[in-house]
Amino acid sequence: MSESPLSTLRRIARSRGGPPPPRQCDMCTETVGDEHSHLVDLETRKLMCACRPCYLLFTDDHAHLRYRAVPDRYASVSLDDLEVPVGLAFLFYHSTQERMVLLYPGPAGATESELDIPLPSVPGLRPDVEAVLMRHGFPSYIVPIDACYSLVGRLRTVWKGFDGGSEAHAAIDSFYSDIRKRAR
Amino acid sequence: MTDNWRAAAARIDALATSPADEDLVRAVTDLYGAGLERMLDLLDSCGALTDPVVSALAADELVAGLLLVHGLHPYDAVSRVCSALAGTGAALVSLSPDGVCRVRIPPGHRPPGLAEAIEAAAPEVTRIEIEQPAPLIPVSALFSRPT
Repeated sequence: MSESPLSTLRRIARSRGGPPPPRQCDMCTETVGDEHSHLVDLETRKLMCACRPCYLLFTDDHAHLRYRAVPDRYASVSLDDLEVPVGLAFLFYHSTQERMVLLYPGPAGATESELDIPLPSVPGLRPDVEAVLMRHGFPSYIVPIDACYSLVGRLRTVWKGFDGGSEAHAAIDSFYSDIRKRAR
Repeated sequence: MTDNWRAAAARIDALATSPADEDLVRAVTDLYGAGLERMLDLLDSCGALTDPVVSALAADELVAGLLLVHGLHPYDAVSRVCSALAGTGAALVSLSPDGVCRVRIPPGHRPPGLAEAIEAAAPEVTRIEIEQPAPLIPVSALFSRPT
């Protein structure tokens, strides 16, 4: 059957985008549940979904491997307030570039700070896979870097105007209360 | 802008490859479909959707195609198939609710592009069944020797 020019458009418009396909481990394609761990690809800096067996292959922080398992640690950390001009930022150690990197969420995802301010080193912070989340007037926390990605993704979809707007603030509030519970 | 829309449609075919792409396309088509529907409603409430206007819209391949994408075509499937068959010698026998289209064509040859014409006019057609009576052999042919 030959297709009329608009047949693809018609098919897409008529389909209601059924249930999303089950999530797979990006290493071995095994199906993983909604709650699963992640790996950081140190070359591309992308997060990969991982099943438990694949995750456990990359838990050694000192191994010279391309992938690194993101731990599940939430801990409060005492840190002087940084002079950042935004309400929310996160900080992590970039092992390839051998430096601390400061990012803030915004409408286009996470943006790296280009401010020339000294960034603190945080004892016990695991490189590439953990981040320090900082918010004006709130304690700082060490959180898994995938949690930061998920917050950034959430904020991107609701961000309005210069500071994010009320919906973004509500998303940050609920994220913070979640962290506070986990950090106990 | 005569036939550029065909190229644009082919471009969508080539670009929309992943489910995420399709989600985006769906969001855009939903928006434009809602706009088209609103436009027709407004035209109708102003009394502007007269028979000549409606038939001009239906006769334009691009406009009719987009109205079909959004299920907004002013004519029902049977009349669309009938006008697609006009002049081909083929006739619509029946069109079932599940999209089976029965067409009778005269003995002899089959009009070219019949299936394509039906599908373009009525995308709800899922299957085409063709009835074609066997040609009658003229009696004189029985007595002539092949040369």
